Amino acid sequence: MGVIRYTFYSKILGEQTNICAIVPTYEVWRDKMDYKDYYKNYGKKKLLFIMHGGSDDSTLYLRRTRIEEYAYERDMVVIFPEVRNSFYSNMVHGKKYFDYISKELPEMVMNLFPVSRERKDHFILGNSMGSHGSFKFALNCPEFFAAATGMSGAGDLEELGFYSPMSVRVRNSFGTIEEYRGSMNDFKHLYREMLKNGTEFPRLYACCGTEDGFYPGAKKFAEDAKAAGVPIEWYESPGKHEWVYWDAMLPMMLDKMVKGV
Amino acid sequence: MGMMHFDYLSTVLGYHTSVYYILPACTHEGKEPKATLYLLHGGAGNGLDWIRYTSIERYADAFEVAVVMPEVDGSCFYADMKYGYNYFTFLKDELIAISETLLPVNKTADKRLVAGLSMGGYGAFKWAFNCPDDFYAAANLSGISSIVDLFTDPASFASKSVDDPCGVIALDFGSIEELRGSMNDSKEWIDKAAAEGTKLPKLFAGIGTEDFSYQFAVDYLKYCKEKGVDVHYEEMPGGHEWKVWDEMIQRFLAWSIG
Repeated sequence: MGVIRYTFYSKILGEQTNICAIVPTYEVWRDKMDYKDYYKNYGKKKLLFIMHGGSDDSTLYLRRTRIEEYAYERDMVVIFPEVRNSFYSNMVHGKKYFDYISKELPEMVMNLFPVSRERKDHFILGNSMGSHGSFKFALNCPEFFAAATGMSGAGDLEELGFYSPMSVRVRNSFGTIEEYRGSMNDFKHLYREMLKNGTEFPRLYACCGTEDGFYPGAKKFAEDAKAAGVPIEWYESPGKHEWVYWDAMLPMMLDKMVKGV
Repeated sequence: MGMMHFDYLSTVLGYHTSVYYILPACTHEGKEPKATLYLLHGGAGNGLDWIRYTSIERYADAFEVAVVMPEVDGSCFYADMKYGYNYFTFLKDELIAISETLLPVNKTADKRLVAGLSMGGYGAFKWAFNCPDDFYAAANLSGISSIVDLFTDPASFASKSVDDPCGVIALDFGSIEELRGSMNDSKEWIDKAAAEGTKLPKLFAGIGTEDFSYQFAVDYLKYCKEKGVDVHYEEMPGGHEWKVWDEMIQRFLAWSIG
């Protein structure tokens, strides 16, 4: 597998930013055909976006998990953007990270890398703040994704406790609780609208460790959404808010999204 | 536009290696670059050198050119080494294939350029002369010489390594005798092209007038002329140094696709 770090100018952010990427390449110890045939018949790969958590950046999954192996096993291109502590939002006080993530990044990625442009081949996953990013991208752009996974924190920000007390990150990203409610960051609002309009959902998968502080809020969101008719599956198991849990969950969550099992 | 570090397991080399890419802004919008420049580092260098010591990213943007910068052993002379790795095969069979499969670089010979400095200039001409159908133009910057002359002239610094069993000549080619007349012999490229009337890429040679190898370049270019191999030549004040390569790479882009 090839690992890429790309530094480039984002028009929407108005500054240089980074992505990491994993791109399948011929593995001399594992692939069987001639390497020239491998590249000749390469085709368009499945595309997975991975959203990092708060305080992290585009490199963390490569450093703390075995994602490269999991991507090899599923023959996927993986893209890791970075958005600082913005919650992947068009910040009330800050940059337009959601526009960057949802408009500029996918088009650039599909132009640069050998990936499919079809919805059935597009997936997204994130942990903690990245689980919010994953569901936000999927619920606001349901036409783009076949499936989305939120690990350890996908849900309603009030139920997860983000507004009690409100941190600087939350204030700068979402503004006041009144500004948050009913906005594009409010998942309950989003899924109710989608259900009302008959919008086709991506398949949603949420998981959380039972020793994680976000466990009650994440579970409540998934159960309420399911009861309302959203195609969401909930998985819980012993675990904390840490990389040991996320690395252990990755292969299963990827298979849920890619194979639907 | 942006700068990319790519790390992967090379099949030909059998180890993980780095390739650096510069992609012009047009590629983000799905437009093809004007050309793709394969840019080779010099002896003792690595794949980051052109980025660190020149403003190649700026020139790539101005000319809308994608740049591919591989990384090889710092004394391999881009050879399939007698004792070592197959760097020439890596370039010609694998580097182009992975770059054109994975990234938005140009995919036809009329849009491919190759250039390098010093050992990389020699490498660029080696690639162009041995695979003339793969490139539109090639530039040899400060690596212009008959390699046999360079290593056998007693006055040349390079001659000291000839008898070293772990020196450049032994590891890369075996011996001077094995080098002479082979695909690695820069004089042989001229003889072969002249004898066979090969249609070559457009050739550019550039050097600083105070370069230690300046006289070798003068002699080599004279030989090219005698044999009817057309090389566009430019010189400027300067030694064997980045000031020259930073200037000459811009001149090469302007001359070839400007």
